[in-house]
Amino acid sequence: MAVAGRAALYLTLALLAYGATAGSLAALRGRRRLALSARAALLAAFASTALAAAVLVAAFLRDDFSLVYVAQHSSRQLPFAYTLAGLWSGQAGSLLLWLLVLTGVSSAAVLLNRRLVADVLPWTVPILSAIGCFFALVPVVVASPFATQAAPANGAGMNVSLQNPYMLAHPPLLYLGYVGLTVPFAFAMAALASGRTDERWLVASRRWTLASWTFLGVAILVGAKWAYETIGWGGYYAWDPVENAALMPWLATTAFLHSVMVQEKKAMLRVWNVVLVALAFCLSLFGTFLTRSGVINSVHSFSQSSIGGWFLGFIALVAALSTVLILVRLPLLRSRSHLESLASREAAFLYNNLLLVAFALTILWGVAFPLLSQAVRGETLTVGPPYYDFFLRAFGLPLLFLMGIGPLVAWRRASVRSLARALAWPALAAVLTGALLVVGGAGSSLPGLVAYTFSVFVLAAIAHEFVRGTRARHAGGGESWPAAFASLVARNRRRYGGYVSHAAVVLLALGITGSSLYGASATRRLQPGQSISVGAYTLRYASTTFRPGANHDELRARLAVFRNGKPDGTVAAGKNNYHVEAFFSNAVAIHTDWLHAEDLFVIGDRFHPDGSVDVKVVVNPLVDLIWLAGLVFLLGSVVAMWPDARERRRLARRTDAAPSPARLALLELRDRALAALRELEFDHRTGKIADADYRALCGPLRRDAAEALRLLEDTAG
Amino acid sequence: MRLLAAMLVAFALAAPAAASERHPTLGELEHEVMCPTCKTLLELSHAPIAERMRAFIRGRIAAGETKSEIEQQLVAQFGPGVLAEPPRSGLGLLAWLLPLAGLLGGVAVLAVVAHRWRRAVAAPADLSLDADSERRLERALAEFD
Amino acid sequence: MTLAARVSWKLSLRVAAGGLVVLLLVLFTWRLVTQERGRGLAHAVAGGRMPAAPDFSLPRLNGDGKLRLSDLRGRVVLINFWASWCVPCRTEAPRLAAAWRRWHDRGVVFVGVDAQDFRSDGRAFLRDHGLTYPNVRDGSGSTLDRYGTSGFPETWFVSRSGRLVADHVDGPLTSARIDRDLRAALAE
Repeated sequence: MAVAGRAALYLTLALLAYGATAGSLAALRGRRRLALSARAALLAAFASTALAAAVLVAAFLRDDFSLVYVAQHSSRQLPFAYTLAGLWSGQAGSLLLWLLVLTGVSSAAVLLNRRLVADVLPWTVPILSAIGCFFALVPVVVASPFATQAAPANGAGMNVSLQNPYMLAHPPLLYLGYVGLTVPFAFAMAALASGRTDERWLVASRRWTLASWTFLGVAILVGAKWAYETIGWGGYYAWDPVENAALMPWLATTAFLHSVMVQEKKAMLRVWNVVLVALAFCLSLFGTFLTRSGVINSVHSFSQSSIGGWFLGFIALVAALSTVLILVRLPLLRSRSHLESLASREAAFLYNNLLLVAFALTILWGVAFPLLSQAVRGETLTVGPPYYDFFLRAFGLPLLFLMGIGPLVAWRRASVRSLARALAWPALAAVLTGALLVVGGAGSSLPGLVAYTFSVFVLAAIAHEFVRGTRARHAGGGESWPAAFASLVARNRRRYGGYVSHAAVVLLALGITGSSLYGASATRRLQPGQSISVGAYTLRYASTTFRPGANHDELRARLAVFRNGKPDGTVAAGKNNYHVEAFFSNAVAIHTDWLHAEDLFVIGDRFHPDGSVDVKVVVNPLVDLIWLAGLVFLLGSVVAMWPDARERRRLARRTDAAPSPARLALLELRDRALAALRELEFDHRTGKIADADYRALCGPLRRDAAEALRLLEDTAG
Repeated sequence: MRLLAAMLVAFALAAPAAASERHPTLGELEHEVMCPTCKTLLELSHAPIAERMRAFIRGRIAAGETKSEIEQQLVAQFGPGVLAEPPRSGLGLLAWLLPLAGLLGGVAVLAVVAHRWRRAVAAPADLSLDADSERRLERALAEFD
Repeated sequence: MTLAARVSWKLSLRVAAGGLVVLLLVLFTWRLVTQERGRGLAHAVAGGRMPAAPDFSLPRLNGDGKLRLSDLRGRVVLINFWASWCVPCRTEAPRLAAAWRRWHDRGVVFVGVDAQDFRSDGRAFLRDHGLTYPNVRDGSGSTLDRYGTSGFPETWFVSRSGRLVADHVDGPLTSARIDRDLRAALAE
């Protein structure tokens, strides 16, 4: 069996190598049939990788310990569901899963954009294949999951912290996110290489970017939930290098998703967007490097192996090649319009980009700085959570504020009049809430108070947008309220999906603020009958229980909970002892009080022979909003990603006749101006834009559209 | 823009004020000190040395020492890497300043670029359209969906 | 702004960005290389390649001043990494004390490296177990990386010429193992 797996991996490598060379040749010489064969090779590579992965999964299911990898990461006692997770519980298997996702995503992206790839962006296939080549080379040469040995009687078992439902979901989601970023990168580079820098690559890759971003974001939150429940210290995110590894590309992609709108609406920032795509991809590779190489001490790092150098070399290569490509094609990327005012939507996007990219790069700097201090002074300085928390405040709070203002500022040029009108309600809501919070005692933390106030501001702004839009539709079209709401969202899915995502970020901000700045904790060694008090809670230690289980024993301290003196159930916190793995893990008790929006988090730390136990109790206000944020985030992405028939029609009308690049630029100019006019008209109707501003903003747009229409008519005739 | 800069400074200053220097708690110090063997915050760690450090910190707090005195003693024992954030002096200052310098640099670049772009935008020409264009535009708008 | 000024302004921006990227790559490469060297040490010794023992100069735990490993050239050195909180180290300590009595006048030095530990705890450990050979303190654990040490106790043997010989021992030593490896190191 192992032979079949190894053969399939070799085949994948060969197919991808063919795809890269034949695809490049085809793109250079314009050979269609060669290009088709390269594409077929890419698709076949997915099939053979799937075969290799199936072999490995089958080995896990059959407890085939003659495979070193299976013996190291499974045992006969391991529950069924977790044997599946064996595929990604170690280095070699993770790389195989990585390759599987990469070839799968590449195949899907190429198939779904068949015509575009064949006619306009022939470089997509060789670029995707070349990246795949690297990821196939590593498991073939350095870390093979198919190494064999004389089968031992039982395996070593799986890392206990991975034996958790969230860990079933976290790695695949993370890989989908990391790997998905390959698609926009490949499209962008293919557009540069093919010299087709019109908007088609953007449109084709947009959903992939959004999807990878969503997966990455959800994966980070699932990882946080996992850390919250299994590591058991009362927190959920420790700014560990491996956690940061996923956050950096997520932030860069967030910046890209915003700046891309500026390119679509105003044809600005074309260079910047390509740079951001390349940055996001490089950061996702860098994240892989951090996770896989063990180069930085981390709780999560995998058993060290020598793949670090491979990844570093690949990152350097990708960075160098994309830089050269961008520099060579710089003339093609020249902007066609400019920023008109520093108080405008596009300017707000620029500020947002500045802060997001600065934050992503700060994290990168924080990860690298200990190495610098070690190299320069021979003494390692630590860059830990307090450092990142500082910059989260310094960059995150202005971002939160911008999130409230940005969507209310008009494109091109905002007037004080319109701005005041748009901001009045949200600002009032925020100030009132702020005052209430001060009265309620939230003034104990200034950053916390600011974060709460800004959050309310943003939520009010979003709600106001929905209300205003629905009201205008209801008034204009005579639709019922729910129908008006539905058509409002349906007609501009990306805008309103974006608002939902913003709401998710606000929930996240509230959850982080509440749990990190307004929590309380206490630690005490309790004899049976003794109590510990934190905030409104008192916990009385009743007894210790012991229960043997299938692959682990459970040791628990039982405590009766009282909130403000009233009984509020019992909790059981303690340890699990895993037999095969010979490992103790924390089994914390989390007692969620939905009414007061807080978690009571209980850790049974050390059990003493005299029957006493060290108990740590943490009260985490609002922490559950973080998990809720994950669901809302997902909803927002789905709304934004939902196929939009109108948009597809517009695009088809623009490109069906295979226009020349010059004509295509005119068509893009026309559509951009017409879409902007439509949107402006609607915003005017909702009352977001004042009359005078409406007239002032319409003028240039009407002129642009008319100019494009005239030129189009002239050249057509 | 100016608002943004002012806010940045305000938050940066507000951050460290929260912790109490004179009467530190174990919880605060656990959040500012690393466990040397596991490279995580002390609060996350159950390693033997972490338990030992907690006992040490409890003892120092009971002796009435300030937070920085306790931290200095830990540095003397375990080196500067025991503190969870780089010092705001010497080489450590670079860790703090580079991101802020980067952001300020970004703001400067943005300001220069915006200034140049605004100059490049031509003075508003006559925006009125002739009847032909007007008709064409209205038709296109009506068809545009 | 003149054209030249504008070009140089853009250029310097690009150079700065490129420089930072290169700096990062160099840093991580350096880290990989040094780390591999540490991790490869055990492998090299096991393969009989006798790599040079990474030098260190650390403050003495039982005595004044510093101890530099390379100053001990000409004698066989047993380097033992330990910490007072490490449970197996307690099992090992009496064996080391006994071995030191057997070997200290035969051209052999023992050097204990007490790493990631409180000074007072380390000294108490030495006192309790009657360890009298030179011990140094590495509070931050900076030597651990260079020796690729992953846990305590861990022991290395250095030949008279300053090369790592015999095999390194991961976990508590036995008396037989100490004697065998020291004899092998003396024979180099």
